[in-house]
Amino acid sequence: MHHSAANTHVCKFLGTIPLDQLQYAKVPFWNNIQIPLSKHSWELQIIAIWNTKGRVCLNAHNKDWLKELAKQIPEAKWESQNIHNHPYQTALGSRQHSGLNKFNKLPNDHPEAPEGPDIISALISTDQPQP
Amino acid sequence: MSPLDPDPRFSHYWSEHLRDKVFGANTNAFSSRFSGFSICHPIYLENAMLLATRHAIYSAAVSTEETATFMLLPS
Repeated sequence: MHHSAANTHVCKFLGTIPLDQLQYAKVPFWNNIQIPLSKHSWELQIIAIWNTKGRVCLNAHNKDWLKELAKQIPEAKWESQNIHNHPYQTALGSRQHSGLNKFNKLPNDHPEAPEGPDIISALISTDQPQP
Repeated sequence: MSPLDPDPRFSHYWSEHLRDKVFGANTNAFSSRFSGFSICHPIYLENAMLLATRHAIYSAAVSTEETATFMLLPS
């Protein structure tokens, strides 16, 4: 598992736009010639990276914000119906750790990135209330 | 993005080219924290996606403001 799994307390996998439902906007060229895009072979994952204040703010603004978002992106398969306000558990325990410390354990800025799906799977949150 | 691309409703934009400073561009997207509510759809290069994800995690974790970044990532 990728080291960013330690940051699941700020990450939440929300849903996926399947391969056959994913469409990219056609970008017009300056002389209105359409640039043909090659057919994609991937799904698109929707992941929220937020802090507790951010989630609380969204829920306070509209407790059904995620349902409203789902209506706006009907082609996506959504994993969650509601987002809780409570702090997320970390992958290593129930205590919320300092993000700065976790960030320091991530790799340096050179091209050693893992495969994409590993990044995604490592970000899935437990979304369980703290005891 | 180039100076021709940003949505004019946005007050700030970033470009990877230093020369775009003359057009008002910021040139390092990771020089400041992501804050508030935003969507991040990085270019599909492994390292670019990793850096953007890491920066979003860092920003959310250390920010004292409401912060939520919605990442769109291929799998």
